[in-house]
Order: sequence, then structure tokens, then C-alpha cells
Amino acid sequence: MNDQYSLYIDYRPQKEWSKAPMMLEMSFGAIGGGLFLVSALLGLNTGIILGFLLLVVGKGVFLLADLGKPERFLKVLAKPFKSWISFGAWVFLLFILFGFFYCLPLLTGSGPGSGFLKIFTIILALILITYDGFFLAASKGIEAWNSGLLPILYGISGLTAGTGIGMAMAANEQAQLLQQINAVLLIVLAFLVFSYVNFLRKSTLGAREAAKLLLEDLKGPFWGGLVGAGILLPLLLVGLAALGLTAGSSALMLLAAALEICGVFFLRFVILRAGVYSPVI
Amino acid sequence: MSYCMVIDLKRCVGCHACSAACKAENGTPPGNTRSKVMKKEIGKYPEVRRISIPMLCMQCEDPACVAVCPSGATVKREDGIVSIDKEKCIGCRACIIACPYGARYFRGNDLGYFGKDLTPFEEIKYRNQPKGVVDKCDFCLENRLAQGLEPACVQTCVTKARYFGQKEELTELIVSRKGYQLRPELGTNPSVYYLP
Repeated sequence: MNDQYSLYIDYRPQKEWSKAPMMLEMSFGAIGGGLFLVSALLGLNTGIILGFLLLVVGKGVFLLADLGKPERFLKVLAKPFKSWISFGAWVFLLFILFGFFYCLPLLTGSGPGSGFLKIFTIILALILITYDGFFLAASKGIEAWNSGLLPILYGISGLTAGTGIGMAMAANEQAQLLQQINAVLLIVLAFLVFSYVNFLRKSTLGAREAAKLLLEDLKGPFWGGLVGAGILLPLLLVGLAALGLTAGSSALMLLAAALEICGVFFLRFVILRAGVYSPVI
Repeated sequence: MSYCMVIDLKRCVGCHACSAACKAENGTPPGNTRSKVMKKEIGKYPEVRRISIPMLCMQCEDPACVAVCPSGATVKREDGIVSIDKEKCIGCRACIIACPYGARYFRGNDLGYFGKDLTPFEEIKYRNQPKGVVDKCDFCLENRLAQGLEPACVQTCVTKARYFGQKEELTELIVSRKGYQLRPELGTNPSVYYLP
């Protein structure tokens, strides 16, 4: 039967948001936002600038690339109190503005902005790393996404990558602290991934179908990419270093950070690909 | 005042005349249709039946697509029709994801049935089907309803399986024939009813 007609009688994965620009837009948002947040809180100046650029340029470029009419992007700001996407666009715009002024002193060799500017920019970054999860959760058509776990999962995933990159960049004392935070975040992330899959398996028929898809058709990216490469392997590397059992060399931490970045991408890849429509009839 | 459509499944023979009429009226691009007919086998041997279920936008009372649209391109009109302002649509496709009825499609290219060279018919019709925006059924709002005509699918139905009008006028028919909505549990309250 024609694919377009099978929509009504079979479960069918969504295809509109399963292409590269959407996944990259979400991934850059999470990685950049996480790095910015962690760096702003711990005073890692290079991380602040890198996080800001990754978030603004990476997310911004792929966000535009994902639109059917990118030249009309300003219209996305029309409904900030009704649409999550519109709300997110406003937050993104404010982050660009306030983040720029927060980072500006760094270019002249002094420290980043402080006080209200710092707090407000951090709050905006926190919203940006979680809001992808919010707008997915608001999509009625796809039951697997209708979960409050998604924003938390997305947020923790972004923070994990942020601390991961931070520990690879930081000096000794801060690196040790970041390794410990990173190890805890990886454990929380593993727990959240487990909880989300459990939610899918015990929820509606559409969500159960998504769990099946995740654990069967997408088992490679899920087990290999997300769980193995994105969580367990970096947890092993970082955990041993955090416990002082290995030297925690910068090369190993760099490897852990790279793996965590892959994990961010695979998390979004499997969640978007496992989004299935339930049959209408 | 709110428009409503009732489809009598006992009368529908699955001939696709509605799909063809819709395509001709609205000039939808290759691979996409606003109106379609789904075939489904129900029951178990030896009590098996094959039914035809025409599908279109449900013009929901509480549409999921309107809530998620960031640009305000999709609106619920006072007459109950959910319409898209193609000049406002940014092509984010959030409405396609949100719609549980699969009523919407995204036009990713500007090709016609014969490639880049459009026929005179396509040139005219595709003005309302620009590349990069989303489209769906609106009960033939501009090209027929505005002129006092019924939607093309209703007018062309060979078995008169479709009823179209104000909800108040059709309520008695819906109640007496135990009409139902698709996926009522989602709370979208569709304005398209099916008579078993």
C-alpha cells in the first residue's frame, strides 16, 4: 500500500523532523548551551565564548536550514505565549543579545559580564537546552514524545556534554571538579534514558510501538551510539579519573568529551526517529 | 456557526472520485493530496469486510496544529475552518507533527507532474501551493465556499455519501445514525463525522 495511505492503518515513523538539520540544530543547541552554562558558572572564559558561538552559530544556521521558508524566520516570533517554538525563538534571540554583551568584555581581556547580565544569560541558556524537549512533548500527534521526561533528558544531555568539553579544556583543579560532576551527570543521564524507555514500554500503544522501534530497528544507534559510546564508555573514562584510579590525561578527557558529543547527537537521532504516529483508525 | 462534514461509510464505495475532484480543484502537487480514501479490512474470516474511509482535514474544534504554529499562519476561523495563511507559513512543519490525523503535507519542491516545466493548469494552481510551506484541506474555502458552492469532494461524490453544512443542521443526522469522530480521546473534537 502507498506510504501515504498506510499512515491511517499502521504505525509510521514521522519523517518531517528526522533529517540532519533538525538533529544538528538540537545537538548544537544542547552542546553549546551546556558548555556555556557550565563555563559561566565555573568561570571558564574559553568555554563561555566557545559555548556561545556553538549555540548561536551552530543552532542558528541549522535552525534556518530546517525551515521551508528561512527568509521568513522573523515570523517565528509571532506567538511566544502559545507556541513553544515561538517562545524558544524569543529566548534564542534574547540569548544572542544578552550573551553578546556578557561575552564582550572577554574580547578585551577582562572577565565576562556579571550580576543581572550573568544570571539572566544563564537562565536563557538553561531554557535553550531544555526547550527542544518541551516542544516535542507538546506534539499531540506523537505519543512517544508526550512525556515530561523529554525536557529533563534533553537538559541533562546538554549539561553532560558541556561538562565533558569543559573538563577537557579546564586546568587541573577545575578539571577534577568537572570530572566528578560529569560522572554524576552521566549516571543521571543513564537513569533518565532507562526511565524514558520504561515510560514508552508501559505507556500508550503508540509509545510502545516507539519503544519497539527504539530497541529493535534503532538498536545500533541506541545501544551502540547513545548507551555505549555516549554514556558507558565516557563514564568509564571519566569515572576512573574522578576516582583517581587513572591519571585523567587530557587526551582521555578529550576522547570522553568527543564521545559525549556523539551521545548528544545519538540521543536526538533516536528520539526523533522513534517518533511514530498512531493509526487514525 | 461552524461548518461540519458527515461521511456515510455505508454509501462510500471507495471510488476515489473525491480524491480526483479535490486534486483537480486545488491542484495539489505530485505525491500529495488534501483528500484521500483509505481502505481497511475489518473483522475475521469468515466475517471479513473491506471498508473505504475517506480522509481529509478534520477541521478540529480544538486543533493541535493551531496551538503549535509559531508564526500564526494556521488559524481557526469563526466558521470552524482551520486555514493556513501561506504568506505567514515559515515551513517549520510543527503542525504536521502535531496533527494526529495526517491531514497536512509539506511542499519541499516546486516540481509539477512533468518535472520543472509546469503545465498552464499547474502554473495557475501552484500559486496557492508554493514551495516551502504546508498545505491541507480547507473545505475548498476560497475557490468554492466563497462562491456559495459546496467543497469539490461533496459535489462530486457519486453515491452522495458526504453531507456538508452547518453543524446545527447536521446534528440530528449524526445523533440518529450514531455518527462518530476519529480518535476522540485526543480531545481535538473534529468537525468531520463518520456514519457507520
